[in-house]
Amino acid sequence: MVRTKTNNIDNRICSCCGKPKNEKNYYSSKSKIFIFFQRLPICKDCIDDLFEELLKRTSYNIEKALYYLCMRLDYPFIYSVVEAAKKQTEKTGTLIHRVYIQKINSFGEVNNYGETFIDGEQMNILTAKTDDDILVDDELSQIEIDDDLKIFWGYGFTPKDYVFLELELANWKQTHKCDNHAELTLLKEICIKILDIRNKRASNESTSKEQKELQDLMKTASVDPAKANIASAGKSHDAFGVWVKDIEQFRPAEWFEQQEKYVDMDGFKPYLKNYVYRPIENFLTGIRNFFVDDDIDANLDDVDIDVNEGEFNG
Amino acid sequence: MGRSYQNYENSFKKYSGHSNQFTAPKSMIKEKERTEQWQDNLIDWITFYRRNIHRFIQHYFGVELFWYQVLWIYFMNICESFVTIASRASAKSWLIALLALARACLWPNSEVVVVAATKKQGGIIFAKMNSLKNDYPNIAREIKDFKANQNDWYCLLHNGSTVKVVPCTEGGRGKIY
Repeated sequence: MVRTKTNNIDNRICSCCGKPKNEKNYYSSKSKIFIFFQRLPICKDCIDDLFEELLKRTSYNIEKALYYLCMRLDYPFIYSVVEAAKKQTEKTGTLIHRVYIQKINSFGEVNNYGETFIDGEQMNILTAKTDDDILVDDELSQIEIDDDLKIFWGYGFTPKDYVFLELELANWKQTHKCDNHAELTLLKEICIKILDIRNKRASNESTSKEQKELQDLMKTASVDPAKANIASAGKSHDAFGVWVKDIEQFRPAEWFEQQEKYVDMDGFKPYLKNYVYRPIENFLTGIRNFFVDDDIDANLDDVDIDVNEGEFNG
Repeated sequence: MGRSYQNYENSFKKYSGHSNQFTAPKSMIKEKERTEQWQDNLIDWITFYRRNIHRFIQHYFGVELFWYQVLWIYFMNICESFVTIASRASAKSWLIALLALARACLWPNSEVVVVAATKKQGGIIFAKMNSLKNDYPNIAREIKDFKANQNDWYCLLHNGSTVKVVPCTEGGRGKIY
């Protein structure tokens, strides 16, 4: 259709917007379906719009959007070119898909990227990371791990692993007993095993052996679901009062030497002074003390408010 | 001879799988089995809760309190005597029942005594206590034995604490601790 409407090859009509445009406004292509003109039938402006639309549909995941664009325009999708395009975009500010297509067309033959989409690399769309995931990964990898944590879990883990292990152990402790060192050690091993399984699964390796080991560990620690119904297996069989009693059999269950510790955490005593002692004193002795100590809300008053002088627009 | 003892069950076997978790057999926890860290952490919490009992009621019992109730509970816990003037239906008995249970729970082997003009009047507190027991699972788990009939009102906790009613008469002398 494009060919019949215009005889002038330099002024071809875009199949998307219908406007006649110069040859320079069309990307070249080596795909067999565009072999006659050796260019795409869609102009560069329309491809810009198309990429913008794909970005929105993929929640602004650049890799996914490029992947779909390549799929539609029959270009090979190559990860290394995507990374190179990203770097160049950061420097020059050019739109990333333009850089990508230019690179594919310029170096495709030299680097054997292939000619069509089928020749390129395939992305597992389901497991592709979003930009948010990448951001979280970056934040996690920048966390500083202190030595205590390293001694507790052992060396050789990434910061992300340490965070996962800590969260996992906290979850286990919420639902299972972890009162003595033996229980703690087993729960620790379980957490590490779960991490192994996660990592292996992420790299598409078989996890059956690790799963078996995890099940054995859970059986040893009596935390598998089969043993959950046995009396005294879980936390639900404890009572706070009994814990207090257990401790008081051997030592005082209160820091009695630190009499001021945790006293009046909600600040009731100033309230008592202002609104109970003072009125009763007035009533009984006849004195007229109407002074209310405003320091009762001291915490709120201590909040500093920054006022930017001279920038008031009201 | 052997046959007559064939069906004999010792208490361990007899009560295994028993619905009452405290009757059902289990291994005893000895001092050394609880880590020092665990004990210190718990003592920290106990100290905090004993000195801020309203937080214990809110956190552990899971009972939601109004602000005036928080204030009352706090001062009832720390003051030797507490006087309040409250209208009808302002949850006075309910609050006393709650405090009695919290005190009994936090101080093992303590005896909480509810004193009223007649024993039956003191039993009102136990009616509230019963409803608390039914409504809040963490309160129920603390209670081992609960009696609230026409003649006897008595609550025994697993940690050895008791809550009981004593009439404020000549006959009630000697029962107040």
